[in-house]
Amino acid sequence: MVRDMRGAAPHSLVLKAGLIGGLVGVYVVAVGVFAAFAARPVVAQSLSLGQIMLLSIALTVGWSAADARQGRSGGLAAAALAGVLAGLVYAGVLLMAREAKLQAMFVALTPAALNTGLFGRTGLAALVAAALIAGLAALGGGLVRQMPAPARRTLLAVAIAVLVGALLRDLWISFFANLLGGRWWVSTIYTGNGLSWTGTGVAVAAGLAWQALRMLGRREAGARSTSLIGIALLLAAAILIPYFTNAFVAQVMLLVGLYALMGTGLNIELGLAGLLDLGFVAFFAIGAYVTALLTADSPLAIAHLSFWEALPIATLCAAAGGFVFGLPVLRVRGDYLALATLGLGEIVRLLVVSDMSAPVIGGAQGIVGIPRPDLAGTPMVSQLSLYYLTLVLTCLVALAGWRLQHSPVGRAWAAAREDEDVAATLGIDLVRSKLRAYVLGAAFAGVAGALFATTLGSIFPQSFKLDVSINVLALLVVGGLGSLPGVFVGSLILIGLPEFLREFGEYRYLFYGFLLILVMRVRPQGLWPDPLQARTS
Amino acid sequence: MTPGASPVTRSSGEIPDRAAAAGGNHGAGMDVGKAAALHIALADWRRRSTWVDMVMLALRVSLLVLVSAGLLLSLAHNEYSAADWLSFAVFGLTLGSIYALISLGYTMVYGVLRMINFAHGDVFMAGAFGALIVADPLIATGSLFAVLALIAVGAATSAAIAALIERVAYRPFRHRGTLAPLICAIGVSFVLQYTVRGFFGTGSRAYHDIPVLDGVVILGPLQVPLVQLFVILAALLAMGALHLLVQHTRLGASMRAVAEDRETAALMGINADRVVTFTFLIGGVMAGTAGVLYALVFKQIHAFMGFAIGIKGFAAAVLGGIGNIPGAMVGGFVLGLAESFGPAALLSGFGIPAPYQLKDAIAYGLLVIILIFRPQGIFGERLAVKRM
Amino acid sequence: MLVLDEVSIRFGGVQALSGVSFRVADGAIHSVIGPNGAGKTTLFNAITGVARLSAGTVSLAGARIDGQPPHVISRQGIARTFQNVRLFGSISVLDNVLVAEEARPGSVPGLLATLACLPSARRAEQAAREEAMRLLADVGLADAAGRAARTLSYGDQRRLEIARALATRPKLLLLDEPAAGMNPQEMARLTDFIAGLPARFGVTILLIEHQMRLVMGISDRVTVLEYGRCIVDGTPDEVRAHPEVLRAYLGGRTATRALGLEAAPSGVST
Repeated sequence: MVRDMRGAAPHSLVLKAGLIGGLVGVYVVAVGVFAAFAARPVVAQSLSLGQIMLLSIALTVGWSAADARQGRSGGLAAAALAGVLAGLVYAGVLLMAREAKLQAMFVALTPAALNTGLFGRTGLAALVAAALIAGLAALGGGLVRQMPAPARRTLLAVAIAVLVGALLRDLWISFFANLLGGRWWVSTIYTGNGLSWTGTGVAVAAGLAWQALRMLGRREAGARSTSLIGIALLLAAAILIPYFTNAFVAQVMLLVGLYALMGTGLNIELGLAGLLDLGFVAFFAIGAYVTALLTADSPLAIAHLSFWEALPIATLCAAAGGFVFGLPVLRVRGDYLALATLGLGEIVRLLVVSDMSAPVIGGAQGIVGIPRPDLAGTPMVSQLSLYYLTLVLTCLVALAGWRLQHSPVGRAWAAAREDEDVAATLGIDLVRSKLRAYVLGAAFAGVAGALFATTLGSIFPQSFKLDVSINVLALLVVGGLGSLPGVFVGSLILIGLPEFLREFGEYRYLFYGFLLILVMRVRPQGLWPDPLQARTS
Repeated sequence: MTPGASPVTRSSGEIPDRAAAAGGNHGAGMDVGKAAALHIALADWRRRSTWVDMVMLALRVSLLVLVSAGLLLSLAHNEYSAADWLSFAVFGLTLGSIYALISLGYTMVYGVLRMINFAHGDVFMAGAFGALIVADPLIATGSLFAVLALIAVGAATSAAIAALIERVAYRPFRHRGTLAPLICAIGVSFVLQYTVRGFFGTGSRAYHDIPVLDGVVILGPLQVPLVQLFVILAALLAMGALHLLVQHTRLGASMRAVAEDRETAALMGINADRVVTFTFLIGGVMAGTAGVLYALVFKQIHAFMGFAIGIKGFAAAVLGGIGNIPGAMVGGFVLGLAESFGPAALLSGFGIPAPYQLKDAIAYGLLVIILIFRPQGIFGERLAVKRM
Repeated sequence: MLVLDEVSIRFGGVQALSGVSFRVADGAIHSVIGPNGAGKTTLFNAITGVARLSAGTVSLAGARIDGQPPHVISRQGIARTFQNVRLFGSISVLDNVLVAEEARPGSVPGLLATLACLPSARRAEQAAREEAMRLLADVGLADAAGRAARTLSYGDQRRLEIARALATRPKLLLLDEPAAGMNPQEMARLTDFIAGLPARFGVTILLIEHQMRLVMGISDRVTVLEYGRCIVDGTPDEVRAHPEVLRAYLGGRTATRALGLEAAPSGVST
């Protein structure tokens, strides 16, 4: 082993990586994620998502322990050692937890979960198994770190392909059934809930092909054209996928579109004008309630308009709400604004559920009997038609957003976002500029609210909690603040994906939380950043 | 035009006529009558103001009218007896002492870092759950000492979590814009909530009754639950200890120095990272104490309780002037009282059904109003340099 | 053009400006000098509405502007640069100028016209863009139009900041230490550039500067501040000769050199 005299001692790094890795493993089991993931097979009957999760923790341990300064073999040894340590810590704590029967306090530490977590073994055997597996996985992590970058990227592409193939099983199955015309495909590629070995092979091949395409594409095209091609592909997928799959997929895509709509609105406030609005859901609620009151077949209704007549009214009402809220609040700066809007949003929600407003807007019972929109005299009942309605509106709003971003209005937002004081001395009316962003964001949320009400047919106050604002915020951050395509990517990943991963719906916000921290730390510009910001940051 | 011909003067005497006529705030209007002076001041205000200022003034006036109408109507209704009001007051002080403890964490962190620790409410919640792990065996011993141990466990849990959060989620953003740490803090808040939910389950968890704190104290016409008095007392003690720490120890002095001016403090050899860590630790101790006290009063805790109470703690900090430690304590009590009196004294007058459903709305409303009209709080920020 | 009358500002216990009065003539280059902490930048903040006056008045072209919000003051024809350059770093060089160009009321149509992509909106935007490009060409930054502002060199950032201020079409341009951190060649170029501004753009200039060579060379009039007070106000020659300036501000032999008595730069046209 190469001894290294510089910097922190390698063994302290090994110790740290091992300990933290082991405890992260324990956390994953104790919080219940492992048990939920273990129920989802990925490859045949032999590898579950839970196991993949534990393995990737060990992999990361190996990666971080294999410090480059220690040289090749030294790094690998350190990685393996750290992995063994992590395995021992992990199994040791879980064994103790099993002895102490902690289930009364920690609900996720059920005997069944502990048994799966300990690979079905007890005592020393469990310790040895955990140490071995974690050590090997960590060794793998060390190896991956020492690979040349293209090989590493290829490996990542393959891993993602396998996961996408396995986890989006429902989507693929409906594809095969509709397009390639056969149950035969389904039974070849999937067994039970996971990929068969053949299916895994197909996924690996797909991953390799994708990586090859990407390398070719990078060599030939510039940044601008790839971004255009990307947008075209996204649009084509948005139009075609629901058509060739089933109603469930259309429903999920509808939700994605709805959130993209709201995302475009919040993007104007947050991404372009730099206003963090945590009360965003209030405008979504206004749009939904106005639509409901104007169209519903319910004693609470105040009119019986069609959806098409109600939509502009709802949008205007939401915009007016934005104006009324915004005028006083927008003079508040920075983080204060976030809390002021949060307070306002919560006040609205409390008023909506209270008995005080029940005679007007239904209180906790909500409003039911909201009709679907008509198209040429026939109501749009299928999920697919409602999806296309959402898609059209989303595209319109996105176009408006794009136009605004590259107009004088958008430039004034950018200036105020960068430096309020300077913007003011250039003659930009800050209140007016911010108010424009706020009102437009509110209007877009109002459109989303109207759509939400008509597609669901009924609305309840529980649908308008802070969670909605946080969802929209998270998808913006993940996609890239200020980036319009980023809104759609973020919405697909954060809103669409979880619908196919129903098992972990309970832990959705846990992942959102980690994702927000991770994205801010590792890639603050988001997955699909705005071109100029990507170039300069 | 060729400038620069006139001789050297100390000032160039001439004043335009309009300026002299409107010059409300200096010599010009001296011997004019009071009415005229008022007129000039008004004209000057109109000259300076934009339409937004007018709207804000209208808002201010209508809020004032609404609040006074609510108060008068409620008093006229007279639904509540004097004993009711007194018990509202004691309960308000109990709540207020919990808010005050939480608000200290916001205020101290803001003082040294100029950032809002959005996840602080969840640190409070985590303290209550940390103590829950040892609650049953400790409570079974039945002594007052056990209660103190419970508080210590809660405080330690929260302190550890607060310091961990700072290390993992905030320190990397120390020198970046406002938005990144705030978004990160929202992420932390969700991680904490759903971690606790994953650990301890979806429903509420119960703290069992503690015999030493059971029972009531009779104060004149009023029966005050012993628990409430204990909570107020414990909170006051904790705040007293904090005051001593900040004012009379080396650590407190470094904290104040960093809050005043981080660069200068660094030049004086103060390790800002250590001070920040300590600040989070102390804020965590206060929040954890508050968590256990809350659990003692309300008996039920759940993973999402930190959200609303956290906002209220923040509201208390803003009320007292953020960065201002004694202000935060007073702000906590003011908010607690407002929340406990509010529904009866303000809303019942308007004939609103079930006004208690809206007690949170009163607290949030107070927060929004104070942020809009007086963001420096009742006592003003104690900080020389405000954050942009 | 600009008249300050008994302007006073106090922050908490500190009297930053006390009773400062002077007037800036139309089309002049007027400099404000004084030691550090004399209140020069505070004076700029007072004029642009960033700092609140505790007494006194400021008038621009006969109309009072003190007490008004900064953007209202700006729209009446005052633009400024900052001592430590403050550009919008993450947007492009062109957009930095364009923002100022479009902030003028009436230069581009409103929100609805923009959203509807009306031809008039398009035309106005195109016109603003051409105007901004012309300004960039004037300051020699046309080639850098597409780059993010923060990637420019320090001297270029200074020039961009002046271009941005000019884009608001000001009557009065406030320059806060434009030559700070420049080498002699850059400074000479800047001196010529500033000296040419009144003729080219029809602006009056109020200048804060420490480089006496620059100040004395191009100023029509100089005001000297000390401890928030205006101690002298006159032509460069008068100020140079004034005993109080020599005593209070500079003192001794260094003063004569610093004030450019030995080698007053020539060939600078006003």
